[in-house]
Amino acid sequence: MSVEAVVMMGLSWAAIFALTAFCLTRLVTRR
Amino acid sequence: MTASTPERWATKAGVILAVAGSAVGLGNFLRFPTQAALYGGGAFMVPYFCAFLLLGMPLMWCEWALGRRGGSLGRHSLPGIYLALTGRRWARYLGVLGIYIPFVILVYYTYIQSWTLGFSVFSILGRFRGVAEREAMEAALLGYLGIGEGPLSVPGWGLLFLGITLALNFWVIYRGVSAGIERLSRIAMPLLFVMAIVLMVRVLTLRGVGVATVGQGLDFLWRPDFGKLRDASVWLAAAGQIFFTLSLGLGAIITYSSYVRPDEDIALKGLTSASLNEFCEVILGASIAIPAAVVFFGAVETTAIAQGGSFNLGFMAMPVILQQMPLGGLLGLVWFLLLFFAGVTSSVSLMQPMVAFLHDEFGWSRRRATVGLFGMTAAYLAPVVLLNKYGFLDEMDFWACNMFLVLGALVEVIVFVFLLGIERGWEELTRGASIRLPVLFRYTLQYVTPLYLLILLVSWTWQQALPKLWLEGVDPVARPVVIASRLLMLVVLAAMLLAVRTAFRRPQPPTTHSLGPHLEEDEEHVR
Repeated sequence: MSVEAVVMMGLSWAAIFALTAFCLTRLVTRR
Repeated sequence: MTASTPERWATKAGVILAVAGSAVGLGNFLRFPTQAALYGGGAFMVPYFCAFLLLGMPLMWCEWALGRRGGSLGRHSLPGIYLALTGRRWARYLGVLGIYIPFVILVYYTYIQSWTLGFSVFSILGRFRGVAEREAMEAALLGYLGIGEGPLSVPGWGLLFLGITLALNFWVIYRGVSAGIERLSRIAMPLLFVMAIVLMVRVLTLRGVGVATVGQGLDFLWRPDFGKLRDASVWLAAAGQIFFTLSLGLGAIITYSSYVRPDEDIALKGLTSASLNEFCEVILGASIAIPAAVVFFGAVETTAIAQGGSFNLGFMAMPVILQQMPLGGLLGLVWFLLLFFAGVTSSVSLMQPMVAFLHDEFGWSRRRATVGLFGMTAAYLAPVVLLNKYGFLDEMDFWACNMFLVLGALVEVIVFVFLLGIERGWEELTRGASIRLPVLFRYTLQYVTPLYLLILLVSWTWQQALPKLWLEGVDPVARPVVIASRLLMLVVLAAMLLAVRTAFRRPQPPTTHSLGPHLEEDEEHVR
């Protein structure tokens, strides 16, 4: 895998993971 | 379901999973990776995330807010919601898009869904065993559809799986919002995640098979070609993908959110359902079909597969790929069940708007509304199944998914921003919110999103709809069928407009609350 591909995949995955984790955490802690 | 005891989602997780289920469909696992592969690889994510922020999330929140407000006024389908929110009699005709578009898509979507059920059974029965070429698999699919001869040309099987698919869908809808849709989502969505993760792990751990490595497969999908960002079609494709993947413009999310309680946190719920969809798409969807195709077919042939479209990848390439792995029959079952679950959680969301319309505006019981919708769907399915080989289904798909959705979304934004009023709309969206929405989104919704949609509508009309309208590239033999498909769509639209007109001329069932700010003064006119 090229470095550029790793960077794009890593950034995209990190953004989605962060967003999902934020939402689920807020939902759970709000109960 | 009565006016005094309105239907509601039973749990917080239920509505989120239901909306996420509506959004997660076949497109997450087939359309997204092919679009990314064709439009710049990793660079595609730049316009994709821009569209998510400027188009996707504002529209998602807009739909949740319209739905919750409509639900608090006792309305659950767009004709009634638009009328109740704006107080303008003509607005109910704009709302017809919210029952028409889901119905048209429902008809052919359940048919495609039945293929995934059939193929999952064929996988475990080993009916694909020995089919090593995509071309042979194409013949098998066509044989299954009754268009040619192949290993799956067994008379009646297609209809059997279609019958089972319809029965399951209508049973869920008949059970109601909480006992049907919510229960389905609570079972199907976790299963869907598990199946997708199993397949992703299987693909990412492939060693010593095929003509390329998994690393090369991921590189094929993610290596950015930033030069493509100068091409406007890449930005349009990314906006289109965001649009389809989040199920926007349909009215389905509006109907779903009309069943939440008036004080629920729709800002966070909307964001969560969108993030779950993105997880399914960018992380799971991108890690299965295209990387596996590169491993077994190589980069050049995978490009050809992607250019052939989603069905090429899902129904022709994937069965060939999966059966070359150990436990291939089982993996084929998992793949097609994954698509089936993704499909069924979406198709029930396409049914609920019409059932809600018939219940709210005609006073029909859920049973009667379900039977009525079944009759309409079955009648429309007949030409779809019989004339599929002449492009009857493709014609419906083109107009519904390319043009009507954008039109529906544009109308939603106009109603939200200009008819309901951005002040009232923003207040509705942020009431009860545990997250603070940046005010930037309010201005985005007010100015950027409508402009974005307008650009999409104009460019698609110019680039795709006009050539399509003049039947460019259509086989002369298929032209009468294509025209018939369009005429039937127009007849259905006219019938629904008539139904909306009739519904609001008859005495209205009592609503759970007042009819809304504008409507009370206009109520006498309406009735």
